[in-house]
Amino acid sequence: MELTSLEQQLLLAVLGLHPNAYGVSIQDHIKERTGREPSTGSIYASLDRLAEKGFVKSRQGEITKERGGKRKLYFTITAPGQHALRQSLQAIHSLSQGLGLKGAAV
Amino acid sequence: MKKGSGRKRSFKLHKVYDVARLRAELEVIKDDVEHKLSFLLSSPHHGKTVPNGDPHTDVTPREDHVPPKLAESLLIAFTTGRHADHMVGDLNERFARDCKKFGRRHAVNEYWKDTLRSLLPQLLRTIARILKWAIVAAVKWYF
Repeated sequence: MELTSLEQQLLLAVLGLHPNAYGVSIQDHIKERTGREPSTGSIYASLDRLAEKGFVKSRQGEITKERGGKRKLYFTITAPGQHALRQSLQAIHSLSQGLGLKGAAV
Repeated sequence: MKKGSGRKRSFKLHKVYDVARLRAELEVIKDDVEHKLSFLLSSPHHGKTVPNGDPHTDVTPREDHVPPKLAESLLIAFTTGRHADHMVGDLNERFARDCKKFGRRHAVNEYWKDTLRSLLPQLLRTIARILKWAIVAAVKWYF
């Protein structure tokens, strides 16, 4: 199963933030590490696709005052999600090996 | 006499019913106004201006944590998925955080930016769909 780069980043963020992965924390996590800030809409659209494929699960969270009475939606990665992520990262790794890319180590 | 008193009583009962209904309606309105006022006054610095050194980002805290309503409404209206509520919640949370960190002006800009970036793909898809149907209709009409 192929994953887009945003889907890879989302799965990695969900895995890294477990069990506190929700919209804002995922967005911050990706921005901190990649310098790229995906929009809230694209995050939810991608997570929706991943949930349809069975790669992530969601559960309703608490309501806070700052959120204007709206609930958080926490995401966790499933076993098939971890498997797909591992395969996808391995594919990137094997493609990039031995290329002698200049700059930072891959 | 009896008939008259009966009529009077029913009239009185009718009046009592009306007064009770009006009272109930007034209670509902009062609750609604109290709820809205408590929301507006919930900011701890209500009514004071907090100077922060920057004339552009000085805020009147009554509006501190109230995100731009138009952007919020647009997001709710045009988000087709089932996550409109969660998206608005996330944007509100970021807005409150940005307000504290950078001031209201910056927070409003960020809110609008994220809203438009979130809606743009959907708007483009909708426009493309409308254009497609318009072209199909035009071709059918022409031939």
